[in-house]
Amino acid sequence: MAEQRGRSRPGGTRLAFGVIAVIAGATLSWACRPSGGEAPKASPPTTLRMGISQVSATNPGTGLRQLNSLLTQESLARAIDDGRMQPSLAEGWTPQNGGRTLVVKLRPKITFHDGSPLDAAAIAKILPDSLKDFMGPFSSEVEQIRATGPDTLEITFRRPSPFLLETLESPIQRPGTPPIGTGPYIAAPGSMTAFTANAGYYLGKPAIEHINVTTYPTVRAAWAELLRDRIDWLWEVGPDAVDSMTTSNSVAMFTYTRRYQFVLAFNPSARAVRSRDVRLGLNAAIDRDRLVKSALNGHGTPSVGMIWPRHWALQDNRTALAFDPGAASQALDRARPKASDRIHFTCLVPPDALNERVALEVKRQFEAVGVDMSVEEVPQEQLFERLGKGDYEATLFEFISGPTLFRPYLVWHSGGPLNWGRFGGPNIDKALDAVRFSGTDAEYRAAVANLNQILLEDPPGVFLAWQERARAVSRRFSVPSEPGRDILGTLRLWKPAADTRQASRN
Amino acid sequence: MKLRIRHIATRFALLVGVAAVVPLLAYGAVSLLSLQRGTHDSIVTGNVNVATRAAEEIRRYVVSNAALLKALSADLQNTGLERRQQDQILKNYVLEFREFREITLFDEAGAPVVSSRAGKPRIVIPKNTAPVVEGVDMSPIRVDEDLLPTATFVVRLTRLNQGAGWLAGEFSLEEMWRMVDRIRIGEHGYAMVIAPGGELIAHGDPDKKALVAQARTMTAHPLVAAIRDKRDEGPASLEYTDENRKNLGVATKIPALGWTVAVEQPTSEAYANATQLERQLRIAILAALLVMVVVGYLFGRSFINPILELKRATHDVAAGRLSTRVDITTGDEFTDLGESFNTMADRLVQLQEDVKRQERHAMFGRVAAGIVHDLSHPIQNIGNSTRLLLRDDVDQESRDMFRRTIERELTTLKRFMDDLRNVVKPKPIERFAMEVNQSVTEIVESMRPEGDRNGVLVEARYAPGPLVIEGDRFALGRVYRNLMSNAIQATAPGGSVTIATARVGDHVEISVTDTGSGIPADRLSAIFDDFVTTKRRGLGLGLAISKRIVEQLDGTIVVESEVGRGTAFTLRFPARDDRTVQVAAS
Repeated sequence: MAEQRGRSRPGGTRLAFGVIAVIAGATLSWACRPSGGEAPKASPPTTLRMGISQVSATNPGTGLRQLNSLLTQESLARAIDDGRMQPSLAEGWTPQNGGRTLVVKLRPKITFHDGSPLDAAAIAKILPDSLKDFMGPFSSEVEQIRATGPDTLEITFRRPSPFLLETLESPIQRPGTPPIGTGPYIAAPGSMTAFTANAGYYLGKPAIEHINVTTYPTVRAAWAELLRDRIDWLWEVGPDAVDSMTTSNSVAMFTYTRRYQFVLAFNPSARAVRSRDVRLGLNAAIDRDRLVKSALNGHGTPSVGMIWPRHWALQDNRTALAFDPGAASQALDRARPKASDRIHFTCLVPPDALNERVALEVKRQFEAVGVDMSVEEVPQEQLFERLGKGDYEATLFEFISGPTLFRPYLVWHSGGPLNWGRFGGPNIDKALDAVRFSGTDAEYRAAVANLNQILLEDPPGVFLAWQERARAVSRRFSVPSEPGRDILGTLRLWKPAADTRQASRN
Repeated sequence: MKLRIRHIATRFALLVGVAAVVPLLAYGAVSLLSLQRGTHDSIVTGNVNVATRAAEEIRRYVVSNAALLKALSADLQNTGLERRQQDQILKNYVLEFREFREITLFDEAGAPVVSSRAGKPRIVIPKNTAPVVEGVDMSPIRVDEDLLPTATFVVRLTRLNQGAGWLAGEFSLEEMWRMVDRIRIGEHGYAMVIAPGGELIAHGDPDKKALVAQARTMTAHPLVAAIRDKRDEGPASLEYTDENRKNLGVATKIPALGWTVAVEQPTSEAYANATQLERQLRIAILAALLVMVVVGYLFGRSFINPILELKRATHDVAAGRLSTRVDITTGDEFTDLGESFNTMADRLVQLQEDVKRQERHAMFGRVAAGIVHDLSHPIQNIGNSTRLLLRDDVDQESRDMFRRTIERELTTLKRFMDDLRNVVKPKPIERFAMEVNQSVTEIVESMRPEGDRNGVLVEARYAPGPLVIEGDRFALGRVYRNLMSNAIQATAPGGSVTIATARVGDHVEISVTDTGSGIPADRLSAIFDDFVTTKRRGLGLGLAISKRIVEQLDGTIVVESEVGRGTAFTLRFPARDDRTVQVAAS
């Protein structure tokens, strides 16, 4: 008996199933469709629009000059975060002659913006004048600068000094209007606000073709322009605005610690503050952590003294500027003629909201230990004039203080070109000179330790805090960043962002 | 057009689908509607709560700061503090309460007395103010030199019910921004605050803060218009499109300040959960529908498969394949039906064998009867004649007659044997050109005597010749003779038999027509089969042999007949006017 199965499904049923399958597929596609669509991609920008203002009292013009230098000029070496020197235009160097002479080897094939070669002969010609501007009277310590080969330079000091190496940070530029440098950007003729990428830059032409700079009277005004997308990069953002901007999706914030610290510098001749006990008491009366939190909105680092807190020589010698109201009161009591007397002095501050707030916070903390500090706002020009004349008791503003020791030396040594107010004193001079003339790393560390001890025993001022600032950059640009390092140092590597998803902070 | 669903499987599937899915669809539709309505209400309520809480927080923030200034004024007036002390208090205040960027004490003439600023005070006593809390007025929101919104609180100082100056504080709204920034609904829902004049003073979307910096006016915003048009102080909610995006917005007022706090969220996000649920529900319903349809179809198919199998098997049996059987093992009535079918098929085979056997018997009987019938007469005549020849008293004339009878009957027997032999082993046909009229004429003349004997008129009609075909004269002659003999025998006396030739296109036709009794229609189809005859005598081989001969000569033979009127046989051959004959293989 043959066994045979039924026939295949009828054609109509197949059609019905086909229709159902099509409807099911269409419905499932609709149900599973992704929402939203892709945003159109804008063409990558090659011009960076920068807005510059000043958080501190100085006018934007000062910042503009600084920007010009940073973009167009370079030096043989640059100071890195721990205060050591790293080669830049130089390839390396070798100390000789017992530390008196530095033999510098130049990188090959570097040219100035006008195409002339950067060789030893050119630098030997440029460096003396540059050092005069950079080191002030200390440039006389340089005995000789000579080219010993096409790419070899010898710099000889009259005496060995670790500061000799820091002479390499002096900018290398040829005279001109504007001065002719070797940097990644070239200023437009007669302009300080327009820059073009240096096509012959020895580390490669920057990806950003043009940088256009606009100045603003206040950082808030510049910030508003950044939010309006009329500029791409806000030069500096103060502590007030950092928190408001970190949540923005269109702006990336990159913080760094400024190499200036807030210092309440005393006039060593002023009667109210010349007493060592007064100065000790005032130092102990300051809660620097609270000051950072209150006046700097938490964006700062408490000072550990005159020296950059991350300096390599400081790591084993870090002093603790302790907040000790008890010790402060005791020291101040010793200084008062009568216990009921209050110590009064006036502090000059430049016209700047941040300086004012720091001064007010310091004032408040002094009040707690019976010291009345009047805060007097003085225009900048008048301030320096009065400092020069010694017509002040104390002043509070940001002093250049790092990362090398050479900067505070210039400020606090009596012969320093930046010692506008005759700050410091013989003890400070002696301690600073010990640092200046130390011959080895060990001597250097010992001198630094000694300097710290002097600052504890006889402070020339109250070292308050290092301010943390930020640079705000539109996410239309990709910015390589390293923790703690200012993104300005990587400007030549910036490029238009291909992917808008960027890190929001360094 | 009426929908016809012919297949049970499809009907079954649709039946199951409809019965199972319609309630599901109804439930799904009701659920979806309820979900949509409930979600909308729930989200609006939630967002209203957020806006209301935000408004209250902002109100408290502003009012508390106003109260701070008022408290400060109480510290300053009628307390006999020295200027130095007042100065200290103000400076400590701005350090302590960062919302105040500056606080300055003015005398009755409007000159600054002491200020929190180290330098010259920047604040001025505002003109158009509105009370915020008792004793504290607030200026309208303005955009300061940094292009950011700020306001000034001012407290009127009095002494002995006389005016004693003002205490003014510049109040930064930046902290309120952070408050608004923290208000988030989902990923893309933000809050904003709008001043009574329509100025945007805060926006929670960091990328829209530029609108605040631009002092954007929001009077045309649909939500602002909605809250403005409301008669009561309650919140307003609205769905609207803004910047090509559909939003759900709620707004509520801060009565003490006249500000509006609005919360907006893209509807795609607000209803995302509901939309997802809706989508899942649709997918579930669709999946259920598909499953039901598939299950129904499969179930229906399993139900109908035995029927289809029986149907196919029935067709096979009808087509003659009686060996077809079914194997249905469903265990139900279909199994019984399958067994019945197989039994039926077995019986059919048996019946067929019986029928065949009977037919063979019938044919054998007929053939035997025909042989006996055809042979008995000649044999009997031969026997009789032989016996008579053996008698001595028979005269010579009689002897001659008996001898002729014997020879004639022997010839009949020989022809009979030839016919039989021709059935088994047909003679080879020889082809050669022959003129039809001429061959027909010869046969007509030979058959006319038989016709005369039977009282049948034998006639001939000839078409104009020559009509040449490839033929075997002798074989064709036999065909003509057979046809004419049959016609004469089938025709009653007085009737006629006519043979006619004709040229029809490329063919030559020879027709033999009689006015005989005719052949019943049911026997016409088998007329050319072997051993089929309408005569009482004979094996029925004549027409079969004639057909074979005609077909061997590439011709055809057809028959038309009507009972009572006569029969016509028509032979048709290809005309070969100019060809030589070839001998065809037999």
